[in-house]
Amino acid sequence: MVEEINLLKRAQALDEEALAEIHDTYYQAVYRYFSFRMPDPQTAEDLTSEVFLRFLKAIRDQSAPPNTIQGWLFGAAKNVAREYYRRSNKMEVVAITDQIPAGESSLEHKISKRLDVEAMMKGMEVLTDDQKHVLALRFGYGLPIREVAAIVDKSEAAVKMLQARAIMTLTKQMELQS
Amino acid sequence: MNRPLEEALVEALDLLEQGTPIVKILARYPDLADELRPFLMTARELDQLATPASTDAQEASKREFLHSVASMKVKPQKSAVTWLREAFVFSLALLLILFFSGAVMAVSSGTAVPGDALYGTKRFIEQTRLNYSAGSEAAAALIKELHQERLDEVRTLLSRGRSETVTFSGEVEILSPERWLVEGIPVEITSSTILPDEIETGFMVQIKGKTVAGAVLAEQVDVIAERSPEPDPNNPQIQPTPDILPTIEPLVIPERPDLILPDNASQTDPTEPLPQPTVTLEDDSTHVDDSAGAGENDSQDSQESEDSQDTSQDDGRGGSVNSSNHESDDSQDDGQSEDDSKSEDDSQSEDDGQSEDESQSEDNGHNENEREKTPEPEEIDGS
Repeated sequence: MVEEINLLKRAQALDEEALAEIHDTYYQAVYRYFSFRMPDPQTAEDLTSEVFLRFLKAIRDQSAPPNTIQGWLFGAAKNVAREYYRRSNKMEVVAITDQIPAGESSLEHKISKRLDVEAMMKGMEVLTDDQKHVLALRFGYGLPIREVAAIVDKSEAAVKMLQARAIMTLTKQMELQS
Repeated sequence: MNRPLEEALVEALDLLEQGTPIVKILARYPDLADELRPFLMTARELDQLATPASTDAQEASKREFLHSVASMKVKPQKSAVTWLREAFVFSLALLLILFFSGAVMAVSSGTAVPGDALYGTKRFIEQTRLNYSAGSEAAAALIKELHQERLDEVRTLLSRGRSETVTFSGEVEILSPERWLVEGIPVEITSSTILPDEIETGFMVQIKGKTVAGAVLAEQVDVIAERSPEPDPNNPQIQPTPDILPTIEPLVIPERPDLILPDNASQTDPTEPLPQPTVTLEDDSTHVDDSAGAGENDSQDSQESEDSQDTSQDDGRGGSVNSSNHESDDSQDDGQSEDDSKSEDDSQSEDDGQSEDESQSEDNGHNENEREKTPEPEEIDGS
C-alpha cells in the first residue's frame, strides 16, 4: 500500500519510470477485465489503452487516484465499458462471429470446452452494470472476493450475493437462448 | 428467488474460489445438487472467458501511454514560462488595485470635513497640489478654491450639527457684540475670544474656533487685511499656511502707526500741523531714495492695502520733493501707478508752498525719528 502511494506520488509528478511501472503492473489486469466483457481482443485492447490515457488525464487535472491505483483503474474501466456498450449497443454480439478468425487458439479452446462465447456474451447483456463489473473483476481479472469488495466499495457478503445472483441469471439466460 | 438455493450457491462459489472441485461441492448439497450444477459450471466457464493480452498489444499501449506523458510534460514547461507572465499580470493588477484604491480614497476624501477619518488625507492632497502649483498662476485659483473649501466645510459641519475645531477666513459682514457674521457664517464672540485691536465690517479675518449649535464659537480672531476687495485673492494665499499670518500682520500694523506718526510728528511740531506729514514723507522718501529697492517697496505696498498705498505714495512724493528737480525719479514713480502721480501733485503743491530750505532743515530733524520708523518697512521687506 505504501509502495502504491509512493508510486502514485511519483506518477503525479509525471515521473516516466513510475508511469511505465504502473502500465506494466496493471495492463494485463485491465486487459483481462475487458477481454471478459468485450466480444473481441481488439476492442479490449483499445479500451484498455483508453483507461490508461484517462489515468494520465486524471493526473494532469489532479482529479485522480486518491490512494489506490487499482481501484481507480477499474472504476475507470467500468465507465469505459459502459460507454462502449452505450455506443455500440448490441452490435458487438452480432459482430463477434464475424470477427473471430477461424483457428484462433482461444476460440478453439473455448469451443473444445463447449463454451458458447456468443451465448455467454449475449446472456451477460441482461445483467446489471454492477453484476457485469463484479463478474469481470472476479472472473476476468481473477481477483478474490475480498479485493473485489474493496474496489466496488461493498461488503464481501454483498459482493458474494451479487455474484451468485449474476451467475444464476446468466445461466438461466443462456439456457433460454439455447 | 429461491433463498436456500442462493445461500447454497454463495457457499458453493466460495468453495469453488478456494479450489474445491465441483463434484465435492455438489456432494455437500445433495438436495440442491441438480440446481447448483449449471451455476457452478457457468462460474467455471466464466473463469475461462478472459484471455491474456498479447505482448505486442501491451507494448503498443505502453508506447502510446508514455508518448502522452511526454506531451503532457511539455505543457507544464509552457505553463512555467507563462507563470512569469501570469505573475507579471497579477502584480500589475495588484498595482492597479492599489492605485485605484488610493484614487478612490483621494476622491472620497474630497468631501471630508474636519473630524472625518479622511480629512487628513484631504488636507495632505490639497497641500501637495499647492506645493506643485506654487508660483504658478494656477496657484492663486487653487488658493481661492481651498479658501472656499474651508468655508464649505464649516457650513457642512454647522448643517450637520457636528462640533469640530475649525479655522477659516473671510470678510466680516456683520459686527455685533456677541455675534458676528463672517462670509455668511455666524461667529459667536465670548469673553475668552482673543480679538484683534481693531475690527470693522469689511475686514478680512481668520477665525479659529469650534462649530457649536449653528455657529462657530470663536477662540481667536486675527485680522488678515482691513479691507477685503482687492486683497481677496492674496489673502487666501495666507490662509492655508497659518505660519505666514503673524508675519503678515506687521504688514498691516506698521501702516497704522504710520498714520498715527504724522500726528505724533504734529505734536512735536505743533506750529505747523499741515506741512509736517509731508516732511516726514520727504524723510521717508530720502530714506527710500537711499535704499536701492525703493521701487519694489512701492509696488508691494500699493498692493497690500490703502494705508500702505498711502505710505508708498508718501514715499513717491518724498522722492519727488526731495529731488524736485530730478524729474526722472518722478517719472519712474509715475510709471508705477497713476494714483501715485495724483497724490504726488498734491504733495508737490504742498511742498512747493514750503521752502525747500525749511524742508531740508526739518529733514535733518526728522531723520532721527524716521530712522526709528524705517526698520519697520525693512521688516516688511524681510517678510
